[in-house]
Amino acid sequence: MVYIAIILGCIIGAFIGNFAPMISYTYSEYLAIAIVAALDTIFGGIVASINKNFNMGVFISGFLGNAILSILLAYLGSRLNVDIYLAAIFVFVGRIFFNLGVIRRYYLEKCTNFFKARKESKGKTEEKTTTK
Amino acid sequence: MNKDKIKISIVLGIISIFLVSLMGVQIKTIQKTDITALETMQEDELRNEILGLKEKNDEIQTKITENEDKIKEYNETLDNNQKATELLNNELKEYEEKIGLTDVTGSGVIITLTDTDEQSYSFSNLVDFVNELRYAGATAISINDYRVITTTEIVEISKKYILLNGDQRISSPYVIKAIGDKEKILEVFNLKDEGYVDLYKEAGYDIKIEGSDQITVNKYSKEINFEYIEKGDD
Repeated sequence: MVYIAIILGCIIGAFIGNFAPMISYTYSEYLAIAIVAALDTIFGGIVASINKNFNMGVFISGFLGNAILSILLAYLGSRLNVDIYLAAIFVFVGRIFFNLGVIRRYYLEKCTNFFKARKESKGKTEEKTTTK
Repeated sequence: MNKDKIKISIVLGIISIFLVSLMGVQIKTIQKTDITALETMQEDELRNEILGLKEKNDEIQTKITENEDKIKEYNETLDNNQKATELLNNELKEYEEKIGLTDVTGSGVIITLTDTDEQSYSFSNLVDFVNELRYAGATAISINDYRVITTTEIVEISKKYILLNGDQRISSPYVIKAIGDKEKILEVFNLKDEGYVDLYKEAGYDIKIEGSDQITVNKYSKEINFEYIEKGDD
């Protein structure tokens, strides 16, 4: 359900982005960091939905807050001649990988559980046949 | 539970729409500004070039001002030169007047010598007259409107003709015009018994002398040729 919504959103977003206007090259840096922040939030949201502790307020405020904060930090970095956006990207991408790991483990577990259950059920039937 | 999931999926969908459209914008920008990115890389070079050109411009500007100053100087010297040439021209005119290359007017005397049956004037008489006039202070002399200058020779080619300046033939009556101190010349020539007028009249020549305030002596019409003279040191 969640994944269908995400894929649908991706398709519609790609469609919109295709017709969206261009922005100045100087601002693309900030947009990139906002995108990374949004990606992090989305993965966080998926993980939260997996863990069943999804909170709408936290999610939306995280989405907007992270994006805006990262943009502000990047701007501050460019003002101070320190590449702060690198730190932001480091944090965000690290979290994305962490969340991906959580998601992967969850589904791996689900998979193995599924196969185990299948095997067990199969074994049970075999047992049944052998006992017969 | 199910409601929550729907909610979550709707929110995630909207956010992914937002995110992907942003990504599209970003990708487009990066793709399109690839060339401009290169340009921005060259911007520094261009900036340096502009700075260099500005410096060059400044140099050229200073050179221009220098050259303008020079031009001013040259113009000034040119003015001075013009003054100098004017002076030289004036001097040249003066000298030309002095040596007889210009028509001159002034007060002086006109001596008319006419051959008679008794006596006729020879070249030596004319030489004497010229000499006497020069002695009396005449500054410009002409005989029959032919200018007598320093190089003028007066020679005889026959009894009737006298040659002036190489090829200017003259014959009686000889009209000698002389510019100079009128009174002094008249005095010299009219000297009692000793003056040329008395002397020549006594010898039977026909001679007339009269003073005038407006005498025109023609210029020397030929080229003065100082051949064989090499330039000497001052």
